[in-house]
Amino acid sequence: MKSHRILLVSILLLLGLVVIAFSAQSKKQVPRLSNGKPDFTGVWDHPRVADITKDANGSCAGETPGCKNIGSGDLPFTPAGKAENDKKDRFDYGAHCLPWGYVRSFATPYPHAYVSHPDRLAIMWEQDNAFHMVPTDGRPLPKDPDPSWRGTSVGHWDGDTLVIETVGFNGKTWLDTAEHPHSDQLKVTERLTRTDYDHINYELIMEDSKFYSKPIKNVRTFVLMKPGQELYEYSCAENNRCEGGHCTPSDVQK
Amino acid sequence: MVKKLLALVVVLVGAATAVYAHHSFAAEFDRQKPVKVNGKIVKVEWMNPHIWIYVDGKDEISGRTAVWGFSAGPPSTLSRRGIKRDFLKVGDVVKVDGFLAKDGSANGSGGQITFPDGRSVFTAAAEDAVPNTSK
Repeated sequence: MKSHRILLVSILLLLGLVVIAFSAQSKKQVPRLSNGKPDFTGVWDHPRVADITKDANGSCAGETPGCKNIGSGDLPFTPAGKAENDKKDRFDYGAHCLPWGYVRSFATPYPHAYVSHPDRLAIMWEQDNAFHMVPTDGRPLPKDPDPSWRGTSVGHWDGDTLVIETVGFNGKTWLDTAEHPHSDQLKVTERLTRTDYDHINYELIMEDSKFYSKPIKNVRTFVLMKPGQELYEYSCAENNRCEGGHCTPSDVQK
Repeated sequence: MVKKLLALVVVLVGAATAVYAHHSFAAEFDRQKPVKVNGKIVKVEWMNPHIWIYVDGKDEISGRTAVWGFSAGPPSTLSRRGIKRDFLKVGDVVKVDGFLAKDGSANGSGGQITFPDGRSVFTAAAEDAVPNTSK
């Protein structure tokens, strides 16, 4: 009887050790760059945020579990912002395969990737197969950048958090698919913290004094995609058959 | 396999409640005009930004017969859902539940495809309108 008890305790102890060993292995360390800062390199799944005012919880855009968005709630429109927001039948630039813009690119139905280097961060979005460079070599934001769809960015470190500031937008894009507008005065600040191997905490602050009286904030969770998951090719114009509500027929329909 | 696909459909349909998509579903298709087309697949265009499936058949609701074109999700989304490019083949008999194009042409958003053996997959982009497939 006593020997049975000893055997049982031994088995339980062994099982406990195995569990500890496995959990230690799954808690991989956050990788570091040669300058000691966190490395964000990888394919990341983000929450699909069709409306920045709303929360999202659950599946990511690429259907990895665990994505999240804490939405802004009601937007603090200025009179000019409200007038723009109330306009009907605005030109749906995305439906015509024009760039989705910086803020919306992180909220698409498809994942994105980062490649980190001590001097720069490269962002690659599956949506439109677009890329964006963020110098992190200490240079300041340019004073008067040419207006563009995705703006001009620089990044700096606040401890282990990468802070990216982006300005110089052309004002032709929206903040989300719900068509919340922004002007050419938009400034975007992102704070990226790799909280553990599999997650990035992503704070997004949008300031646009022309259209909004206060900064707008979203807080999102990005999840590292499983090994083997890659970005796909995405060619928007290839087979866009119902542009603007008018469908072109295929040869089998003629 | 069938059970797995059905479970996937339930999850995806549950997740797909908004109406916004790449191509702005509302700008191109009319959610007030559902179609239920029974027929045979005559062509599959496995392409971005949305795959297109062409079905020669009849719409149960309007009685209209045509080669119908259905816009579905992009290849990346469908692949990640386990729907690969050989899943829908020319010659397959299917029922497509979707919504008619705004221009009234024989095109639509193809939300749900059902095979004669009962297999059913949600094929639209994640945020397109979800067809009511109840009889």
